[in-house]
Amino acid sequence: MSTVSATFPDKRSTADPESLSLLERIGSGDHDAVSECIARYGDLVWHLALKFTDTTADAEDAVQDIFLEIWQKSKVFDRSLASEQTFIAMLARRRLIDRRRRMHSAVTTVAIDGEVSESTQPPAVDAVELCEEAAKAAICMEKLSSVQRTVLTMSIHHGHSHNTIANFLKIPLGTVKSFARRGLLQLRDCMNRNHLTHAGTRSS
Amino acid sequence: MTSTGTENELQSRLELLAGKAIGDLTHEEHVLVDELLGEQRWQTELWQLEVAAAAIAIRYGPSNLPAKPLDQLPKNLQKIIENDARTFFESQPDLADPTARNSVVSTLSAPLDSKKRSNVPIREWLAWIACAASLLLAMAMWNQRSESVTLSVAKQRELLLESADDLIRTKWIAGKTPFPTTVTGDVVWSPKGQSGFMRFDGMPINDPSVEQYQLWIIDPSRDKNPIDGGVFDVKDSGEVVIPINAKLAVAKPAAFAITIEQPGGVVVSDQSRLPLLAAVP
Repeated sequence: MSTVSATFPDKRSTADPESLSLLERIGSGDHDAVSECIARYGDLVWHLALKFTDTTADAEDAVQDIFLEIWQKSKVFDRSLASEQTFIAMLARRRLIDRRRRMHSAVTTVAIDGEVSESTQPPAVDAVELCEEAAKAAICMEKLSSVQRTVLTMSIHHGHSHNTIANFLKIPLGTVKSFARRGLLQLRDCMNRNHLTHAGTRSS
Repeated sequence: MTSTGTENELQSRLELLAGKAIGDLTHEEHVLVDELLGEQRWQTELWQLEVAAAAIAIRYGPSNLPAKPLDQLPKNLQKIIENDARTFFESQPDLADPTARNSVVSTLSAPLDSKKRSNVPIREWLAWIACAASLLLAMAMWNQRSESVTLSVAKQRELLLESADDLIRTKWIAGKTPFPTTVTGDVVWSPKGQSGFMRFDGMPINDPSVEQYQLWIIDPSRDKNPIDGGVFDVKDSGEVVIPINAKLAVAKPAAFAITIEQPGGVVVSDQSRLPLLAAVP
């Protein structure tokens, strides 16, 4: 199993203390940064947890779990590999996916209504407001086919199961799976082509 | 293998990793991915795909949508997370603030309710301890499972195991009303730190609206009445770790017992449902 620690070298020792990110500060023992980190990223983690869980109580448990993971992984955060926001979203998603798998619960299976359908359309935002990776993803998403875009947003953003997406879009289940996986690969390739992620250049 | 075959295989592997990043793998696919991830190359591929998936999540995240109260982390949860962080850093020798070392590790996934002391006569508890001792002898073989499915609190337990020099550790055995299936696991407790954890494997998932588990700590040196160790739920079918939340100081525990009680637990247990015991050797 891959781990962040296996991939990320620790570069804090050479960092300028004045310019440390929140995670770098936490990793170096500055606990004042904890509250700032929760204030800055709490809504993001909460938002993700709500998408992956069936009840508010489950979401609360998951968020507690995710933040513990964040504190633990703060020591290995490397800003040259991902922005802090992306790193935290990644950890959260990993944890939520693992949690859902452990609990053997299906991905949200509630019927899709008009609101969900409508919200598969991305909100109009200025890419400059997003972190680097999200800004690039916003641009690259536009290069995917409409169906791929819809499948990816329903799967990754809404946390819907492929079954639910297949029923909603009225396409075969296997096609949904292919659209999701190949869509993500295309998105990754597009982001890499634009040199906005550099993880592939690193080794342990 | 032909170049086309190699390309197809490469594409197939990449799609598996994409499935991992999305979270849609089947059990069989998980096995394949776990094998792939033994190589650095595939770890890097997965990392990039996870970055892409996280970027989509951020793209649609709360900072890019009109603010709604439901999108905001609840204030009470924020406080709990801050407390969890404090507890976590206190348990990290390399990161801990030396001025804050006196707190007890007990807040993570804490049992739900706080109850007063029980009035159950100690002789009844001791009777079950005697039963526990005999059963312990019969349990010479104990299958310890991997720890791949534990929660973060499991890491807290590991830290305690590594750091405590006064650790008490004892295995669970069946009580007077055993579960229908075998439950294994153990209890670890540090008297100096006044903290500890229960680990269960195979513990039945409870419905908190119907019943909850409650831990009792039998400590004859301190009091004739068992100490309430907290009410808790089991939400996972595999291995789970629960922190002990003793309501009173524990001096010299002789045994730990799990009862099944009404939601919220009880002040006095009638021990009618006592599925697990762990006697301190």
